Amino acid sequence: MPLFEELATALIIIVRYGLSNSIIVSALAFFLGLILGFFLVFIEVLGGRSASLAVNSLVTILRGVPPVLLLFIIFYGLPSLGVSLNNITSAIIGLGLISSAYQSQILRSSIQVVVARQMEAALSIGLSKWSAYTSVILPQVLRLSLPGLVNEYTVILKDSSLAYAIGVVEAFTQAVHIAQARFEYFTPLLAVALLYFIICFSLSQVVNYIYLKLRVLGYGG
Amino acid sequence: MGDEKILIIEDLHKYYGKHHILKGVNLQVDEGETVVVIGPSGSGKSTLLRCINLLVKPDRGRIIFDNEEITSGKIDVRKVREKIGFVFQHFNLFLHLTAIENVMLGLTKVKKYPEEKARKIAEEALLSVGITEELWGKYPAQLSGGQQQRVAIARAIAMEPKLLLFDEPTSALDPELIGEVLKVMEKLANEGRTMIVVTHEIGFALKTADRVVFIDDGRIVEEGKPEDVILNPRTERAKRFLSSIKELYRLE
Repeated sequence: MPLFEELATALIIIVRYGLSNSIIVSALAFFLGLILGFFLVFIEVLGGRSASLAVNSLVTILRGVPPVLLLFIIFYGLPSLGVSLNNITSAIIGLGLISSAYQSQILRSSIQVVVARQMEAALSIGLSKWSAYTSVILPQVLRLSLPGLVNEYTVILKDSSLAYAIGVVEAFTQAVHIAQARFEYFTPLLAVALLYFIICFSLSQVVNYIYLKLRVLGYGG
Repeated sequence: MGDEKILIIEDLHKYYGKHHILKGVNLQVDEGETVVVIGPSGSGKSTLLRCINLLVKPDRGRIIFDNEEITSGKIDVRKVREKIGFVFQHFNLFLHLTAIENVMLGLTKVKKYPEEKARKIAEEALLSVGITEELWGKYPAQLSGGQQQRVAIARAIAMEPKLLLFDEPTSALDPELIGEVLKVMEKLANEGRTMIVVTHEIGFALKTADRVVFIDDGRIVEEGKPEDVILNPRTERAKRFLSSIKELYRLE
């Protein structure tokens, strides 16, 4: 078989039998990270000094853990404590936990920017602090954080290949399986690399587009 | 109108850490009066304004607004702010909302007016500051500084405040845009609104103010009719400050 054809078949197999797990793991890990990230930032912004210190330490710890180590701890380690999770769930939780640390930082920096610019104005028209957050601060924080969050998703998507180590059959695992069956590694690995590239490149274009939109709204630029 | 006092400030003190920003300010404002506050930067003018609508909590002293002591603990801060319009130096429009949505937000979220009623009031407020229909759907970043500040004024007056506070409303504007904002403020003053304006625009003060207050180092050093304070200041400190401002104007 000529190279191109081999590449194409490998790509088709990876997309059909591996990509969905990559998307499921990365998307759910992303949303878990977003929810936890919001939660962390909420504690950090509204809680006192000790709450903020606790959040900071947690973030530092999470950022210091190699993702694959955390996946092993959850999948192989937790059963000793009586908590057994399947491999996909373990991957989602592990990657989501680590991502929450990064996402909380992304959200925190935009909250600081928006609060500095807009909180006084929101309060001055008589809004409660809660309304100020829901009607003025958060809508802008989400817009402002969007480029960073999309970037963070591409990081999780790539990291989801680590789920290979605990036996999740996602895109990278599928590529390896093809390689082992064919006794040839280069083409399937090239195929899966291409796949990651196409997705990440498209998302980076989306980020550029968001930046343009944000400039219209007067953020940065 | 009449001589009823809408605002009485007694012995107001504010500290930021060790810095003693306000050192016992006493000020009374009649209904319908326009008071211009001048003074060097760092003298406490902005802090004074922010104390009045409780964006900053005073450390000592009393503020009585609309016959109610607002410095007492049990006051509903939101109710007070609802009755006091604030115009910021940097406009501080809500960037994710269009011009008209900026004006409507307080009407729907604070006054709980229905959408249509809020829209109607917002339209009137925008027209009264010279923001015409084609600009209503624009985002703040698509407007000039002068337009943004006029939308900010509309946002404040749409709430029908009993007192309007202006914190250097023209300091962030390009020189050619200052006039349009001052004209709107002049109109508001002539309509009989009660206003406290912190500004360096002594031309505006001479033309529009009923009273000028000179603040230095956290204290009111001099106050009186605009002609007296601006053209014939009595204190050494006010003389120095005003001559430097007049110098600047002569050079321009």
